Amino acid sequence: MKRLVLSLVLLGVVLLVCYYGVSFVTSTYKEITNQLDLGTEYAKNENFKAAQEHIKKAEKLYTSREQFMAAFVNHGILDEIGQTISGVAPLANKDSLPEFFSLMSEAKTALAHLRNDHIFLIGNLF
Amino acid sequence: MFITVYRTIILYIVVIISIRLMGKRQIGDMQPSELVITLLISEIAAMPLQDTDQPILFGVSAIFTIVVIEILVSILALKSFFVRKMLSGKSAILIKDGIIDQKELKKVRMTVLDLVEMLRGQQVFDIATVSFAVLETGGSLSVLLKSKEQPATVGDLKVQKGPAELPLPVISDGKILAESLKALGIDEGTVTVKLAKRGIKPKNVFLMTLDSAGKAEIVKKESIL
Repeated sequence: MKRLVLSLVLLGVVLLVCYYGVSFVTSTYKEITNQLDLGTEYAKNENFKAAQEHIKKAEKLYTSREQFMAAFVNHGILDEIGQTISGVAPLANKDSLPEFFSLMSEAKTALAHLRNDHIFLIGNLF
Repeated sequence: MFITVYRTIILYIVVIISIRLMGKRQIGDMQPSELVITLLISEIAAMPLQDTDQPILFGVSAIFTIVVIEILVSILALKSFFVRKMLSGKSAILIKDGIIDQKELKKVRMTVLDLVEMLRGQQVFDIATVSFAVLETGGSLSVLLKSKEQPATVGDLKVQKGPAELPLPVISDGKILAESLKALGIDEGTVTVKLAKRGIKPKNVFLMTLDSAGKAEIVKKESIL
């Protein structure tokens, strides 16, 4: 009986950590995507300064959370997303708009994949 | 993270079904569920070790999940014969009164040569001397010889013998083992007195065993010899 209680406590701890991990990754995804969306909007309106500000904010946010997310997410994936996001800001100008939108879309897709890998989806099971 | 738990549960079920399908011959001395646990834990523990890109929490959460499943399943198996049978199968009587049950042998997919080899492993060289041979759920063979083939015991010979005593290690590498003293119901003084009688100090003893009848065996440290 002691073992059962101990094992259930262990499982409880594991599930709590899992829940916290999922919440953390999801909230990070939402906050960063929000900043990137704002950056895209400003870039569409050719307000490149504001676009760069929002993208830099997203980059800063990602960098600050990357280390903690590494406890829940494959480190290689985190590195790739970090590199993609940091490549977006320098492209926020009139001359490289197509590249900017392309890389922005790539960053958002990678972030969406990151979140999707941590939520209950049939595809994730198999 | 939850995905790791879900996948672990799925993998557990898949591997246990596979092992059960493979049958007794492949699983050696372990129960099927024990083998699954061993395989899964060793594999899962190795993954985050080999691939440092993977968070160690992936491995930890999977192993904890396996441990919980194993404990729950073993409790269920204790309470339910059906669960026990599903997990471990049932033992098979392969020889009865010196006659091989060929049907049963076919069922467990063993050749007669395999059976003979297993019997030899049990020091049995003549099938006619076997009363029962049972293939256990863990894959080992238990053999009961016919009465006339069994070695004579002290009881059979009607010889008077004292009760069997279990010698416990009371000193290991110069250190007195309190747990053994407690089990024997003695204190440190008893041990030191016994050693003093032979002119030995506890710190110079490599191994000392003592049984409840007070019989001591002492091995001195090599530097003292």
